[in-house]
Amino acid sequence: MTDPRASLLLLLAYLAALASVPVGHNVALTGLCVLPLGLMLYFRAPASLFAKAAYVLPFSFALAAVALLRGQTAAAVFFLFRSYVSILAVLLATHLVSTLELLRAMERLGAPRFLILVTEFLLRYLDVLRQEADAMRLAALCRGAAHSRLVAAASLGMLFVRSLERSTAIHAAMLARGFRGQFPRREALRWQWRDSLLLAGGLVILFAIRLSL
Amino acid sequence: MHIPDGILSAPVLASFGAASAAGIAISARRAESLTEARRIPLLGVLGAFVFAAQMVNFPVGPGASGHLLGGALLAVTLGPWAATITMTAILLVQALVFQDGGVLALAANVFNMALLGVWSAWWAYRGLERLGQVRLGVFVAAFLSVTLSAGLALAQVVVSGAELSPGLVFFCGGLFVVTGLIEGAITVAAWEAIAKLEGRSTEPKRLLWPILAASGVVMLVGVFFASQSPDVLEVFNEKTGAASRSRELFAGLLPDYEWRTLPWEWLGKTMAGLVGLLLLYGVSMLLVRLMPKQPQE
Amino acid sequence: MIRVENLRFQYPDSPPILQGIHYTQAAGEAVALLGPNGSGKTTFALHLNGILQGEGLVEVCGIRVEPGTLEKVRQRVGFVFQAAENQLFLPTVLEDTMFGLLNQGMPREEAEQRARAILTRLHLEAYFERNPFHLSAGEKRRAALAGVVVMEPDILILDEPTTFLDPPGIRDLARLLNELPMAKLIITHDAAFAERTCPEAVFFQAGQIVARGATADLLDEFDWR
Repeated sequence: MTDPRASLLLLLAYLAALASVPVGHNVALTGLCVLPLGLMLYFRAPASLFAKAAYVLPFSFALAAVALLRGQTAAAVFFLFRSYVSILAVLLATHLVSTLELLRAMERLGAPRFLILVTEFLLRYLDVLRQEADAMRLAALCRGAAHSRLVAAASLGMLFVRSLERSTAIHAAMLARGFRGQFPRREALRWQWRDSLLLAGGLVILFAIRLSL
Repeated sequence: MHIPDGILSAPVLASFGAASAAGIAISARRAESLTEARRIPLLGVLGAFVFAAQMVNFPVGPGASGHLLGGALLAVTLGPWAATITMTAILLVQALVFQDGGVLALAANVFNMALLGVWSAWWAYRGLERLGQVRLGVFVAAFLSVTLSAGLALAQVVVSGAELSPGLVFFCGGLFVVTGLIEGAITVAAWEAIAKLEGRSTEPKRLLWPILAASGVVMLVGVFFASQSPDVLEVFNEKTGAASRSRELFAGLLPDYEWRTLPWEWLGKTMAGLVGLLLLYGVSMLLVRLMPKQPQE
Repeated sequence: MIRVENLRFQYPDSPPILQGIHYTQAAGEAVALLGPNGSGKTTFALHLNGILQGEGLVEVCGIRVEPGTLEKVRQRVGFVFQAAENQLFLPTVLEDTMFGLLNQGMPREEAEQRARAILTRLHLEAYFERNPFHLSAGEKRRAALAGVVVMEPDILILDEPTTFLDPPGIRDLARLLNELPMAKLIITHDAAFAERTCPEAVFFQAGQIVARGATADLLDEFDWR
């Protein structure tokens, strides 16, 4: 198993390398996009990642359209290309490393523990609350109030108050199991020589591509 | 506005990244010491609430609906430090799980939405609350949190090398104002519903007309300024002939009027600006409709 | 084991919920708490581990429940809440099961070993790394139970443990509970489940215990089947 810290650092280094390419240098970009493509092949990542990466297009398409209107074709291509390759790299990383592992890596790399704990709770209750919202929407629909401001406002209020109640109940359940204000420390991640090798190798390749083009 | 990766330049990312990291470190410490640890589930669950709330479509006009963005609601209910942390957690999940906004771009997005968005909301709310205008405070807080953070995001994009014409910048500004007004209306509605459920009565006041009037004024001012920047209007005139058409339209509507003395130049440009604004609004609404729904995990 | 004398409780500005409860229970006994909705069963149970604190005497395992003793009390009294979703708050089942042990200061390896053992015993060995959200209702209930039983409490309180369970799930749960040696208080509306798990029962009405006796007799007396 690769240490998630190595994966996270490599992802950030790659995105930073992309960000450091000046506007319009499409050759350097093309060189850099070899990396995620190669890794996708190596890990046999599903081709659906290419489609998923298209989520980013509406935003960069607007920028590209403006650049095109002003006759700057190179800049237009550049923004489309760079944002697409960036999101592809992120998708590949989140495909290979789970969100929880990435969060643990962030914590180990110095992100505040408080923030990471809050994020973990958020992830844990994300689907619970979305299900609740969906159930409320259905219930309103069944009573014939599909598109009303009143229902929407009441739903928001009800969701919010239920979230408060839920967090109180969670806190009670935590107390009942001996919680004293400190979350138990997580198991330490194990950084192995392979991780150093991977990180060093990745950085060398990144620098080589970035500086040679 | 969640900026994706691959748009911002390295200097912008580095400077806002440093500011965000410092802001988050301070906020985490303050939120942790201000609140007992019992608030960790509270903050996390309210973060999840914001995601759930975004599934509730809030009708804002004929054919259009918006959803809560949530920064201001979190700020007025949790206080600024905790709201900053919750908002950052939301942005983390949006970037890592939903590809909504980039990972490296979190440097800027966290600053825009979790720091600027939350604190501008908080100050606006506190200021107006002291004057006894709680409701208005919530509205202005939501409005400012959205418009300011979107405005800064746009500035970051422009500084990063995307050349926008001044006119387009004004168009975007108009869009942000509209989004801000929608967020204000939704936040006030949600805030009132919460107050009602928690048994705090708020005297029912009609906020609709002031909001409509305010949006009208803002629209006119925006359109006027947009009409002062010639480049985009030239593009629009070339493409659509909006100015000349509006002249014909008005001439047709008011045949007996002394139309020679009217400031045709100005009116035409304003009309062109208005048409452009509406067009942009329509296109963005259409884009929102056509966008593939985010995958349900 | 449990001694409660003249326990009274009310939230500020609302009518009293508990109006003088007297209750005793010996080690290893299993008692069903029956009674209509809102009669104070859950409120009473929450006093036994000090989540709520009212007027009167509450003593468990010879320790008086008061602000200074909560830590000791909560090690002895396990509480399985009605909404399993709220109790399984950590991102994986294994982590959640270890939560209570780590709070007691147990070393991680030992806690993990015990958590794995109890989850296996509750037939959850396939779900160690799973997000609790993706478990079925029965699995969630068992996972919540695991997180409490793993702490080996002397007293186990279960609030409506059969909600959302299908008949085989209820049967399994009853069998599991009967295998556990500790004293049990089971709040339930499920008459058959109460009979299957608890020889004895008390009946709550309007914040008071109005009857105590053999479960079958009480169910007949109050027409509660």
